[in-house]
Amino acid sequence: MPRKEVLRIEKLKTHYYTLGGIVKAVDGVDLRVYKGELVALVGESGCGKSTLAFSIMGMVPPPGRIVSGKIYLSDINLVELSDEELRKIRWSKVSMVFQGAMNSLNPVMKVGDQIIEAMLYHDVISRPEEGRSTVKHLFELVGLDPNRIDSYPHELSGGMKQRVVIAMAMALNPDLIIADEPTTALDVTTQAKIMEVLKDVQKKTGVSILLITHDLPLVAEVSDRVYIMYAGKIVETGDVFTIFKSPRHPYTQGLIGAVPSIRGPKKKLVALPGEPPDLRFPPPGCRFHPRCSKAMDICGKKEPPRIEFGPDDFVSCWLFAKEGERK
Amino acid sequence: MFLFITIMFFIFRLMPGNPIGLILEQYNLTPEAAQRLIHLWGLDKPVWQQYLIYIKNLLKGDMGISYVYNAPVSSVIFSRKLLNTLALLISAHGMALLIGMILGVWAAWRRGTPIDIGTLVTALVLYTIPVFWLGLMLLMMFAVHVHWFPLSGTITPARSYKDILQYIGDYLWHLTLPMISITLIRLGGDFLIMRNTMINVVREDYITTAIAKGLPEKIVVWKHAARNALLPIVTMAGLDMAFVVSGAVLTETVFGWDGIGKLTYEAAINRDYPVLQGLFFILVVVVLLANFLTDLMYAYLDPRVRY
Repeated sequence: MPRKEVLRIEKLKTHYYTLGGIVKAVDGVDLRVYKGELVALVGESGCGKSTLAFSIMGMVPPPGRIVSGKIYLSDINLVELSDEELRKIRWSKVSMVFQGAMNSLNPVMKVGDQIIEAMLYHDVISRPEEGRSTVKHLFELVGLDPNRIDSYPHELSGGMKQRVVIAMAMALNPDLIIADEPTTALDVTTQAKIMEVLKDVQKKTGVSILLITHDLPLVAEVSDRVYIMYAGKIVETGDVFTIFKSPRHPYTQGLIGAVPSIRGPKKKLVALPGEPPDLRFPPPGCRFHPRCSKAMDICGKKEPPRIEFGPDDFVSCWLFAKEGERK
Repeated sequence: MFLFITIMFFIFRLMPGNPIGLILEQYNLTPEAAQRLIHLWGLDKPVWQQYLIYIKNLLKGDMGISYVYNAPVSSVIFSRKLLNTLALLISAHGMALLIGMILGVWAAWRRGTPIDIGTLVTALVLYTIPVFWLGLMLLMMFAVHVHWFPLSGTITPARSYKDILQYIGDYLWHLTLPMISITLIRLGGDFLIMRNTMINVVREDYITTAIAKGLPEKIVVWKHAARNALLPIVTMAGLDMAFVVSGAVLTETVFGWDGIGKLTYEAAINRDYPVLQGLFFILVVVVLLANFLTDLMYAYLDPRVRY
């Protein structure tokens, strides 16, 4: 049975035109999210994950802009929309949970009002009072006391604030929530609880989630499929088992090798050598080749082809190309 | 407060010249009359005795008698002059705050555009211009070259009015130039503070969230960003009270605006100690009051400082 696509990104390029050069933060990305799925987008800091998220929201900060490509959100190409059309799509079709749980709530507004406000300006309700019962339901959904509706953000703990943010993300029943490192600012036990809340919300509502993170153990635990991003490109994708049991791309292998395992045999942690490249001047050929232990001659000369193993299952690496193509 | 009163008392007495000398020149008093005045005002007593008398009287609410006006200081200060000054300062500062804040918010939101940079440069220029110079320039342009506005005063002398409206009109007509000069001078500072705070607020995560929520731009700017950027400018407005008064002294002197500022200037020239002391006493009270009001405003604006 073909699954329903919620998000389809095709050959997206988002570049920043800075004085020091063009920063190719997102450079030809393809990505898909199906209904009810939790897809993880993994990569190091500065690889373009957040820019990708902002591209979907149509909020790439200047001097950045989407250069080419398409972003389909249930058959609407967001790239072609006007500002006003985009504004209406935001939050009603796709909402976002931001990194800073502490800071994504306005300190001088009651948390309930901040959720009601989203409904108000998307014409879901016409008067603020009408939104209160919805907010209370949302609070119950994320495990918050509904009486907290009139609290100010500073009266809540970090975990509670993040629950409010998740409740807010669900306010308009979107098809997709982009969660950009939703747990980084929280302590470990709260992190686990917040992820449970997210999964729980997903189970109850069937919303799709695009989880942006560099926390691999978390990815292994919660996600259905994984995209590995490196220097503005997707280097590998597959379901979570393929990625963790038999990673193909040397970068994925390196990432997984750098995470300690509790149950598995004791092994030496191998850190990836080198640093991610400057995205203004990415290395020629495969962008990972200067740090790759298996690099061949061709890797520094030509961009690697995409080797498909199945739908939504590919790797971009010369190692998997046929012998004859490696010229 | 007490310390301040004490310091003021002695500083004024350290100023060169003495009140009697100046009055002698003006009115050609006989030496006997001068002696009587000196005795009446207690200026023949040692300074420390004068000081004790002053403090004793002040505690009773008596600020002394003006040497120049020959009337109680309180009646000299709490008079039409105070109303005139209040009319000038409140209108000018209200205007400056309002325009400065709106422009600041607007420029910060469009940071880096030519409009923003143009406004910024203008604001910096205004911020650095001395108020008396601007006042003189305005007078020269609008009162001397083209007679749009009067040269000085609060109303046209010896004019009879048909009704109260005509009076108010004449008053406002006189008010325009001094008000504009204070507004322009203050505008620069208010704009700069507002723009700076806004630029920081705009970078906050909750603003990104507000945009992501698909709120209209106006709501994001005014309800979310500007509301949070209000706090520093409120603080500044409160702390700036002392400068407000010094601005008033210069402006009122330039425009011959019969208010507290002009009174301060004249009292200083004539060594009218009691009036000076009274004025500064009131200034201190006003500054303290302003700080208190600022704190109250804070509690209203920011739920985090509610007690």
